[in-house]
Amino acid sequence: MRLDTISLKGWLALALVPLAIFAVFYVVPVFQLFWLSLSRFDPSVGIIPAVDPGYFIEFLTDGYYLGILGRTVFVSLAATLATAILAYPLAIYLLTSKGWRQTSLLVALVLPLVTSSIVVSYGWLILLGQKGLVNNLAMGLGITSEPLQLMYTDTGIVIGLTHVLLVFMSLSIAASMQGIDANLAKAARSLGATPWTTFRKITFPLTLPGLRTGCLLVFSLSMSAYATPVLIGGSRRKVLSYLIYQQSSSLLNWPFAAAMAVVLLVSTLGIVGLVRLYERVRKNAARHGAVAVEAGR
Amino acid sequence: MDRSLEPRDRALDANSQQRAAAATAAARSIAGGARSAEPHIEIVNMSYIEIQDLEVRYGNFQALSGVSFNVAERERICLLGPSGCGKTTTLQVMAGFVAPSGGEVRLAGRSLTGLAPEKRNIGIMFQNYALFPHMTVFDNVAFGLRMRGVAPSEIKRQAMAALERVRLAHAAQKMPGMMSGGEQQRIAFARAVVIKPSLLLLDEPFSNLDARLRQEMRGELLELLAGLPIATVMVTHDQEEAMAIADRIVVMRAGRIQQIGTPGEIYSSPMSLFAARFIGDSNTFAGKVTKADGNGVEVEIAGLGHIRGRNHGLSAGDKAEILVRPQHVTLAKPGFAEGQRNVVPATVERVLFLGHRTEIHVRLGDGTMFIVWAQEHGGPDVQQGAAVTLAWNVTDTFAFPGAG
Repeated sequence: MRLDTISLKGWLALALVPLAIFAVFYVVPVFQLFWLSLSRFDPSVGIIPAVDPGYFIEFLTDGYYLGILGRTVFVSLAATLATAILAYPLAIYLLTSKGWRQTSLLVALVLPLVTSSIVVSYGWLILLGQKGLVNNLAMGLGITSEPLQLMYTDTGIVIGLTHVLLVFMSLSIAASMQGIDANLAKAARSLGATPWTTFRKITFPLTLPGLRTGCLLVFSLSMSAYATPVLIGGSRRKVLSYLIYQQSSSLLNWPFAAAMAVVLLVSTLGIVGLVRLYERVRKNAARHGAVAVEAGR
Repeated sequence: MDRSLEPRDRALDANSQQRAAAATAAARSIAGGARSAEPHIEIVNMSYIEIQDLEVRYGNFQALSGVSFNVAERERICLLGPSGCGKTTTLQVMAGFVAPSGGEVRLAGRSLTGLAPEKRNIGIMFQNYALFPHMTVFDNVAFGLRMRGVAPSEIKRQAMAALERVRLAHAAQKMPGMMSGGEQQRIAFARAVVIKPSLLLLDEPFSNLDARLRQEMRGELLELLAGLPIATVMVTHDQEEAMAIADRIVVMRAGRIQQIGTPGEIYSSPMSLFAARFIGDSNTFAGKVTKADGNGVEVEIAGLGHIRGRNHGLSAGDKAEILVRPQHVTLAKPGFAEGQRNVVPATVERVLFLGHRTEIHVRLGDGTMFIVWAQEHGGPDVQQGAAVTLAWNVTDTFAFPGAG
């Protein structure tokens, strides 16, 4: 069916239902969150309605909180980078393999997603512990003499997040790779490009939209991930979602929890926005460059 | 790296006439003619590309078996056949994308076996052009030169020269997606030849274009190839395309070569029913051989009588397929008879006036349909339902072993 057989109004009517759901279940709570974040809290009284940026000031001036925000951003960026690097060979294998190999790879990728992340993280607990499989293997092979500290470290959190979120990166890169004409790579090879150069100059640039989607998904999911970083990082390696949980459920300080949630939302959107802005500037520069070449001929 | 092939000597930039003459001479002597090339023409390497006993097997499927042919320097060869005949696989083997399970390809005396595609110096124009969509037209053409580490100023000069040759220099900074099909094909051509390839491969170059544009592009490609003394191998399923472009045609079927020859040879002396049917239009009918010797055959066709024709390996008692081209048949008055001609009575079913010729559909006594082309101006004077006699020369009648 051609998309333009239904008029714009028709599509709007059809989009009204999901838009309404989005408004009721997302926009309204977010506004409430913003409103709540400006309130005050007293343990003996409860929430006091106010318009006071006090909690924001408290958060943004305290090195302890900023450190946790920094770690959250850092592990999210690291997990994004790790999934991106791991996803390319996986995506290529996924597209080139057939039959049971392809199916088992897909199942392996999706499995951590359909399994409760608590179960998955306990799995990592067993693997990454002082007497876990990874350490036994490393010491058995003589790579280290003392057990590596992997549990309760940022590295551990990144490993766990990478595992759980790899599927998003792999599938979005595979989706954009699938759309690439196989003759393009052949053309590049026939023109003298090695397989690696072909990947760098042809395949990789053409999968950028998929990579962008994958990064967006993995980064924002990492920023707001709770179970994985909490189970692997514990209370020694806190991330922002852990602090929010602590404030809201243990201390019942909902306004402060709301303020931190807003900080999390804004920093996630801010970083994504900055990347977008950078891309646009570069694209414009490239276009101007092309025009300059044209003029210089 | 040192195994990569040298670009061919550009000094061979002979003009198009000389090229054509050399190729014709080449074709003539390959075809078995004893004449040697004229002395003023430089000696052409007759086996510039040697393809020997190529075998390709995919699982249980034998894609190519015993494919061997040579390509002379500057010669244009067309691999012609229906889809699945192995023509594209042959091209893929030459380009290095498919490793043959047997046989080899030799280019200028060197075996290409095991040589990666990027080291073969072979230009390819793909069926769908395969232009890099994220690069400008200029960057597409410059790609091969950049891979060869050519100096930037030289890249610019050569790529622009290639684009000028296809009259697209003005579009250098456009993206390929903004160009029309015909323009994209010209860019693909420029990109394939700018690297001065040792061999040019064309994969179904016109199949993506509509009928009118196809004719136009065929003329265009012929012109571009004329100024370019490069051995060319083209793959097509369109016999007209093959005949228009090729010096020699390799007819393929089910992974095997059926016949190799100039378009004229294959058209006038097909060696198999398949080749005869594939090149040119034809009328066929089946029968049984009653007499056969070196001079010809006589075939009995149920309900039509005896037909005489040229013998292609038949002996008395064999099943035979008779083939006649529509333009060799003339319409005569009922009762017409002549010693050197086959005659068959028929009834006119339809008369189609097509401008440059008139196509007459007739029904024979045994019920088979027969197509006759008449070239007379204004069309022949025949009416629907008229009884006629079809007459054609015995020498225009091909008899091949029949199926079963």
